[in-house]
Parts: sequence; C-alpha cells; structure tokens
Amino acid sequence: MTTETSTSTGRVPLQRPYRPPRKRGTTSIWRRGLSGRATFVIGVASSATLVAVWHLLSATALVSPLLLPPPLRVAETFWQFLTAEYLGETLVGHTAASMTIVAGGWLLGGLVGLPLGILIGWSDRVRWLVFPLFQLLRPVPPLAWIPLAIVWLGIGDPARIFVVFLSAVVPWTINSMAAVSSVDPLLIRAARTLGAGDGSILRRVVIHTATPTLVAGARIALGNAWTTLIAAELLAASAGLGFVALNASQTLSSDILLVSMGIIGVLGALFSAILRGVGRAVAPWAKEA
Amino acid sequence: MATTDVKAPRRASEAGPALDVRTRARNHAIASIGSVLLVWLLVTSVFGLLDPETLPSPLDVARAIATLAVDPFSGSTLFGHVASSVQRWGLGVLAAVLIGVPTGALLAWIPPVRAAVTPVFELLRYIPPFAWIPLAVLWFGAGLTAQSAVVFVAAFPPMVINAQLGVAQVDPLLDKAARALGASSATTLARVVFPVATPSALAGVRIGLSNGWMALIGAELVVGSEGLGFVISQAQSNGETEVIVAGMVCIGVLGMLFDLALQKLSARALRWHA
Amino acid sequence: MTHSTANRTRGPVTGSPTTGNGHDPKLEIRGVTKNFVTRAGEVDALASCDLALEQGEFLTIVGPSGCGKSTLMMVAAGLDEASSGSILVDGEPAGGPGPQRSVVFQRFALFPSRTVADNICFGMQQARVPKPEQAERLEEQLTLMGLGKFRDSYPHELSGGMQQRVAIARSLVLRPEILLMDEPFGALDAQTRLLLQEELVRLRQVHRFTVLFITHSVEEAVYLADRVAVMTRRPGAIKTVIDVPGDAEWRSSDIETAMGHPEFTQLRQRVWKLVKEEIVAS
Repeated sequence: MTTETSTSTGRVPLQRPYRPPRKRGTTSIWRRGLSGRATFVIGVASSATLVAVWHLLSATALVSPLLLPPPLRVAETFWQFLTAEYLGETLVGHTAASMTIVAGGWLLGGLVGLPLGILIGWSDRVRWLVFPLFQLLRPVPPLAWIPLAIVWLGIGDPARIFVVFLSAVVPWTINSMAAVSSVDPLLIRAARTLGAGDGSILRRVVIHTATPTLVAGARIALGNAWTTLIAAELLAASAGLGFVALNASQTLSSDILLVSMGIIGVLGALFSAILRGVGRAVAPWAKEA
Repeated sequence: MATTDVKAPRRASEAGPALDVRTRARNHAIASIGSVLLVWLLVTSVFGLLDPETLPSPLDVARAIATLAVDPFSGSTLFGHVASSVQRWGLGVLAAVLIGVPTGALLAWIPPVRAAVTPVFELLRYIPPFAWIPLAVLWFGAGLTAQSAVVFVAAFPPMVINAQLGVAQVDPLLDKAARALGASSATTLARVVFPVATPSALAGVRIGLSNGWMALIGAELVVGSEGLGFVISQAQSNGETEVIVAGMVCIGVLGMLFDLALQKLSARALRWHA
Repeated sequence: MTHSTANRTRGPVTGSPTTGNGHDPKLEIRGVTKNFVTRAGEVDALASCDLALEQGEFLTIVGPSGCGKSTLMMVAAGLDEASSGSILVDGEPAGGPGPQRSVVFQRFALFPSRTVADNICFGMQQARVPKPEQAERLEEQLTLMGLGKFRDSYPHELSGGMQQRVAIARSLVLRPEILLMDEPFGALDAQTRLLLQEELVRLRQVHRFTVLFITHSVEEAVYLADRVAVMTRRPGAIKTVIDVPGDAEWRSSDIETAMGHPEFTQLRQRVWKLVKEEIVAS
C-alpha cells in the first residue's frame, strides 16, 4: 500500500492564537432554562401586571376612559351584552352571524380547494396549468375583492361568503398541494412494488400520509377566513362582530369595541385549537410540528 | 429485442420529444394564462356576453389604468394614491421590523422574557389586524397613523414568531462550541446565532410585509381618503367597475413587486445558505 | 461438481448471459442501458448491463458510488424504464412493478401513517388476500422477524433495524419469487447490520427466493452471495462476475468467524481490488 500524501498545501496555518475558554459563569442566569412552573408563574404575573397597568391608566384618567375603558367595565359590558341587544342582536346573535358566514366560506373553500390542491400536487400537468393562474391571483388580497363582490352580489351574505371563500380557498389549495407533493416519492415506489395502482396509491398512501398537512391547511384557511370576515363586516354588514366593532368605534362605545375585539380573538384562538386537536386525533402517528 | 413495456408514470419525458421539465411547465403556464385572458376578452369585448358594469373587458381596464395615471381620481392621480399607500405601508412595516425582529430574538434567547411575554402575545395575536381598525381609528383618528398602526399590527406577529424560531433553532452545540472557543455571549450572539437565525427571520419579514400590505388595503377600504384601497372602494360607490379592477391589478402588482424585491434581497444576503 | 478452482473469475460478460450453472434464468437483465435527459443534455447512467439469476440464487452487486447500481435496481424492479434492453422473469418480459418482484429499499420506505401490522398487510390488501389468510401470514411474519411486540407501533417509534425488519416482512409476506434489495442495510449501524445479515442468511434457508442485492460493502457482498457482480464506474456496466464457492467452510459460520477465514479474506481482497480500480480510475 502506498501512503497517501496530501496534494493540498499541507498544514493549515493557525490564524489566531488559541484563547482558552472563559472560566467564569458557564451559563448566565438569564440564559438558563426555566421549569414549567416558573414559566407559568411568570406568565400569570406578567398578564396580571398588564391588567393592573391598564386599570391604573384608566382609573387615574391618565388615558381617557372614552379611549380605554377600565378592565372591570369591559367585563361588565360583556356580561350585559350576552343578553342585551346592541344593533339588533345580542352578543350571541352577532357571534352566530359571523360564524355562519365563516363556516360557509371556509367549507366552500375546502370543497373547491382540497380536491384541487390534491390534484395539483398529484399531476404535473394540472399543476403546470392551474398553478400559474393561482400565482397571478394570489398577490391580490381577498379584501380587495370586496368592492367587486358588492358590485356582483350586492351588500349581503353572498358577498361576504364569496370574499371569505376567496381567502380560504388559497390556503386550502396551496397546503393540499404541498401536502401531496411532499409525500416521499419512495413511499409511492414502495406501494407500486407492493402491487398498488394509481388510485389506490393516491387514496391509501398519499392522502393518508398527507393528512396532518391537510388538516394544517384547513386550520390556516379557517384563520384566514376569520380574519377576512372581520374586514368584510367592517364594510358591508348589518350584523356580526366586525360590524359591532366598527359601530362601537363610531359611537365612541369603547367598552363594546373591546368586548367585540376580545370575542373575535378568543374565537380565532378557539378555531385554531380545535383544528389542532382534530389534527392530533386523525393522525396520532404524526410527530408534533 | 424491444424495450421493456415498463410503465413509469409521472415521468417528464413521456410525450414525444425530449423537452426538459421547465420548458414544458412554462409552455403549460403560457397556455393556461393565455386562454383565460382570451376567454375574458371574448365574453366582454367580442361577444359582449357580460355588460361592462359587471365585468369590464381587459382593454377597458388597461384604459382605466392609463387614465388614472394622468387624470386625478378622487383627489390625486394613480401615482399619488400609490405614494400614499406605500408611505403608510412603509411606516407600519418599518416599525414592525425594528421592534418585531429584536423582540423575537430576545424571546428565544432569554427564557424569563419569553415566559413573561408569550401569554400576552398569544392572546393578542389571535385578534385579526382588521379588528384593530376601529380601535386605531378611535385612538388616532382616520388618518396616516391609524392606518400605519393597523399595518404594524398585521406585520408584527410573523416577524416576532419567525425571528424567535430562527434563534431557537440554532443548534445548542454551536453555542457551546463558540463558547468553548472563547467567544463571549455577545460575540456568540452576533457571529454565531444571528447568521444562523437570519433565513428564518427574513422569511418572517417577508410574511409580515405581505400581511401588512393586505391590512393596509383593508384599512383604506374602511377609512381614509387616499390610497389604492380607497380608490377601489370609491370606484364601487361610483359604479366604475373598470376602475375597481384597475385598482385590484395595481394592488396585486405592487404586492408582487415588494415580495420579489425582498426575495432578491434575501437571496443576496443569504448566499452562504444552501 | 467440485470447486477445486474455487474462485473462478468470469471475464466481462458479453452476449447473452447465462446463470451460474447454465439453467434457465429466473430473472434476466438483458442489454439494459439508461440515460437521463437533463438541462445539460443527455447523461448516460448505465452502459449495457447483462445479468442472469437462476432460481434461488443470491447475487450481489458492488461498485463505486454513483455507478448506477440503484438505477439498475429500479429498472429491474420495473420502477424505471430502461432506455434500451429488457428485464425478463422466467423468460417473459417483466412489465411494471408488482409483488412477484418485491423491493426492499435502503431508506425502509415504511408508510408513516400505518402501524407495523398495517404496513405488513398493505400488499396483501392490494392483492385482496382473504382476511383470515392475511391474519395468518401476518402472524407468521411477525414471529419470523421478531416483531410481535411492535405490531401496533408506528414506524417512527422503531429503531432503524426494526424498521428494516418491518420492510423485509412487508416484502416476504407476499411470498415473492424475487427479492430486490437496494442497499437494505446501508442506513443501519454496524451492529444491527451484522445481525440482519445473519438473519437474511437464515431467512433464505426458509424461503428459497431469488435475490438481487445491491451493496457498497465488499464484505457484505462476499458473505451473502452465491455470485458477486462488480460494476464499472459511471456509466455503469457489469465488469466481472465472481463465483463464491458454495461449499466454502466459512459459508456455514456466522459473519465474524467467516471474516477471519483466510479464504474469505482472499476473496474479499479480490473483489475490493476490482472495485478500487474503478474508484481510482474515475
């Protein structure tokens, strides 16, 4: 055996004299990890501080209660609003109105986007044909369709459902596409050698494996739908939480405004949590992303 | 002996001459976009199946853009509206970058700060930016500040989240290695952590920019008297559908340009990144 | 037949190949070439390849990395189309992929959304094997591969070695006539690898399937094979086929013992020299 001699320049020159590591403090106190309990305590403390500061600001009239009502009054308003009508509906009625439109637009988006995305992900040709159109329309925010939707469908539920649909259909489609095309081609090959045909592979391997991503797409779509609905309700509605928020702002009812914002936020978080749960339930095998 | 009759679907070169995949993809794209434009032209200008108030022809839209560029519409020309939109958007996203990215890095780097901020942040981030429009108007009046604030609210969360993610995903081993080589905390942060975190942070900035643009259009639709969102909402009240579509085209094109510009910038900044 | 001239080297195979002892081949790779179209133009991956495996034979292919071993395997499996040439099973053109030529991949290729039992049953479900028989064959494989405890686990919960056992069970449960193994142990650590190599030898004593086995490990190639085919560098062709004497002493021993055997060492060195010529030349 011949000994190998390096063909490169040989030894690497030392660029800097070696400095020994610092002795003092391996990890600064700020950088140390926290236990779950510490995290919880700090979180509660910080939230409480925030509410206290808010209370002090409006109680001392440092900020006008007209602009920022004290937290207790917001809570009180919330309680009354549950049963008392504002702009023709109780809080429950407005929430139901918003949720109906969101459900409609989101489901329609799924009805179109899910199969379309799966098809785009599965077939090169469909992807080449449809995806450029998508790319062309994507930069136009769904909201910018609102004026056109009003021209086409008038000020009413159909216009809002249409705009919500537009905002939901994009993530439905894009994520379904990504879900399907990110399935390892090796699995498809393996299924083929095990005797599976195209239809069987699509159903039993591709869609099955892609389920967590498909559910994630549904979750993003619902988030978009909710966001867009609020905007649509600011523009053209006679009920709904966005409609309440805008009217409250115009009549300087800041307590009602904050209540509606709070409900909008809580519902958004709730939708997200529910679909995360769905994802875990339908795909227990998936590692949490 | 003939070649095997092996069936291999999803293969690029099935059809006839050996065209590479990109060329075939491009041909399909041209065909599909071309045919949509053609159908649009046919149903509007050629056969007049749809009246221009419902769907104006592409030619009307082009004409409307040209007119907007020279004749003032509701106070200023297209350029004036674009300038106003870009200004408000720019202010909002600039503030979001300056505050959001360092916040994200801080959240990842210092656990106590993370523990304190995360619950509040998580509560607030589920309130869609548009829900802030009424509050912003109440607080700042229907003007530049309110709209920039809404842009900020929309752009801020993805910037925080992605910067945080970027710093958090830095391999602890790199941190250890840097310290073993004698680097101080600040040096480690500046020379090891930030470079590794940059791609994710930039991705967050990119999402933030496009969220901010969307929020601005929404804010302009609801309040204010300038900007592209205002143009399309005004055109709707005037019943000028071709101006609505023209405005939508401008909104889309500008959004795309911002995104492309950022993509180019980050590609340049991340040349080391695979 | 005596093996006095034990390790007879065949010259580069030209013309129609024959099997080790002249019988009708079970699997035949005849004049297979493969080239790819890329933006840069056409790339030749495989020059003409000829091989023939008789029923029950174990043939390993070694060659330098990037020589097209895996491409050849994919063509043999029917997963890729050859640019010219053909794949014959029992003298008939083989057609598309199917359970009679089962493939075991280097990266396991288990369905992540299915449990071990579900993965193993996948092929039987495709073939509409009656349920009771499925259950029976599943049990048989679980026992054979030592997977009983893991029947309801998901692939990501298993070690690499266990995952590859599942993949092998998924193939074997279909009772394939031909087993195509594409560096099946390449992604495993050295110890697991040794165990599975021995297991494979044991499995072959149970089912006498025909195996085409790709590896980059010369030891593995020599230890497992009846014949070892060495491939040239890219574009890959079969350079030489070497017989491994069936009655060599070390063949009945485990792999560590075999490796200590002078005859084994000699054979291994010969194969390695052939492979190295190709690596150095490229």
